[in-house]
Amino acid sequence: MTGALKDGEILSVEHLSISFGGLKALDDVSFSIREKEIFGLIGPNGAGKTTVFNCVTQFYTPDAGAVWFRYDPERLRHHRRTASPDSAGAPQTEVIDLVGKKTHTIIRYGLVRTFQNVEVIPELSLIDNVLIGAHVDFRATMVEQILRLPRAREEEKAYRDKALKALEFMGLGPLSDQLAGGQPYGVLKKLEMARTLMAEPTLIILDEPAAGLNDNETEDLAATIRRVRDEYQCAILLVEHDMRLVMNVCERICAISFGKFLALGTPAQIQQDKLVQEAYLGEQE
Amino acid sequence: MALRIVKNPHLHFILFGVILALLPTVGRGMGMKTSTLQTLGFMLIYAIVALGLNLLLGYSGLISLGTAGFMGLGAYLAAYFQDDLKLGFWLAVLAALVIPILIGLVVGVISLRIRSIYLAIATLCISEILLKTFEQLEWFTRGTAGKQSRYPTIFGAQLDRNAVFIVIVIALVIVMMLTYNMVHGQMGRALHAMRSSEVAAQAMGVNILKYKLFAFSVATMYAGLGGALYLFFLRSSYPTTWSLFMSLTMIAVVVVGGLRSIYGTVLGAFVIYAVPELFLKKLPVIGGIAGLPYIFSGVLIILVIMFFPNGLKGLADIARNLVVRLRARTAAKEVAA
Repeated sequence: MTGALKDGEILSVEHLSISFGGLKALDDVSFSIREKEIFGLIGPNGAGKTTVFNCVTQFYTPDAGAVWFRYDPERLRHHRRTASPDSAGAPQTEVIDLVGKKTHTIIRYGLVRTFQNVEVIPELSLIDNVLIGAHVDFRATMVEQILRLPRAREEEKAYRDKALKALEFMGLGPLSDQLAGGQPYGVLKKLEMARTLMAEPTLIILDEPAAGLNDNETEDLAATIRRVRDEYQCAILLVEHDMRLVMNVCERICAISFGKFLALGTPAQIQQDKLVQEAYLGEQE
Repeated sequence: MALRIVKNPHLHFILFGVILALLPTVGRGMGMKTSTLQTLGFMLIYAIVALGLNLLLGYSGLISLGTAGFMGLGAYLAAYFQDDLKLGFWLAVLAALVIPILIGLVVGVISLRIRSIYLAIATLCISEILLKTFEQLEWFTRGTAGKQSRYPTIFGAQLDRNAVFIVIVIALVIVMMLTYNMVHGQMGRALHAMRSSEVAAQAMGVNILKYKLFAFSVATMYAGLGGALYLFFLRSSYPTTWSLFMSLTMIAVVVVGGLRSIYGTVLGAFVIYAVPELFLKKLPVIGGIAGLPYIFSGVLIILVIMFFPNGLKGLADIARNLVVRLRARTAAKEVAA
């Protein structure tokens, strides 16, 4: 079934609505993201950006609407420890509605997120933090790990090498054995990105990655986001306050305000859009 | 190759075990009292149970005030299977492991709904229910009169006090190795992630239900094992042993020894249990104070929490850092010269 997504699209949010108490946090929001696209989701404070985000990643279950996502069924077979059928030819993708899936299963489809407040584990080294991104990839069972049987040892080593590569890609290679606790904020942000890369994502959602960064760091971040997309061939959804960053890196932008869809287009189109201008600057007299 | 052996943590655990196992023989040669061996045996049992609690408190960030109840359950189960049902040592140990695990799974489910202080209260209640059961369920526990038992027979050989001590050492080494494997690798990282932020852990694919159940069942299993070993070593069990004080002592062992440290936990058991028994009680004047061990562990907990949040293991880290820094300074001086 691929009817819900057009060719070349990875995620489609359709008619998403959710209310908390009497407050409609999202009201019929729709947009879709293409594969390998850098896509921005913007809106003034309280617009519902984070709510969209939490509905996509199933931290909230929306009252209505669908979240269609394209994934490679081969990944799920790996995670479910089942053998893949001998299917020759081009890789097949399938489309699924993520609504109602358990939160911890979302990463298995290739969808990973970061956190606005940087959620890393201070007591672990950088490389161990990155390895958490590979949590669902381990095939050794608990018993194999507790007894440290060969498969568990081999997997640990293989993923450790992979984690080091992800750290090196983010320029954190020399710090890999240091504890995450006490590292500067910029390092932690990069560490979180490296962790998402471990999952070989097809879509990364970044929750306000520029928050707390200075101008130089923000510019550096823009370059990093592009580099991640080019190297890992994944789409990136940027939920962001920092307009300069959004206008600089995003190919298309969706603007929302008070839980309602406003506009969707290229950065130039969005900047020209009357509704968006009103939402940000207030109505013209 | 040689370096790899030196660095292999499992060999360290085995070496540690061999040294401990030699204690009864070497100790007797050096005139060690039977009571000293008894104290050391109980200390090792405390270490086993506290390692399970450290998995909860240190790694998973979950609290339990129910340790004593699960230990008692293990002790009575071992006695019931060995002495009443006459099913032998191995089935007695198996029962003391499996049945507490089942209760641990129930507590794990409870912990999904409630947190921190409320979880502490809930686990305390479970422990108190077990304690009351131990007092009342006379066919199982002989009530307050106490359950009497005997040294176990393994593979047809009747064990004595020294042999049970060695069984305890073997159990401790196995528990240390298994715990090491649990916390170094995918599962340990998942527990860390869960402690740090459940939301972030879920986003990384960690199944919170699975890991809470895992942490609680391992902790109750170690407590059950500790209880069974306690029974085999002391050859009796009274309900008063399995009170809140035992649970609090286990928390003291973990906190003083060091959260998330395996050797720290053993060291904690030594400081909290063995030091008052072996040394403090022999001091003039203050040695006679009733409840001296309580005062000692209370003061230690306060000192550790205030000044050394990482416990004795943290002290060791500080010492190691000093040595590294001194060496670096000497090296720098040599380069300069």
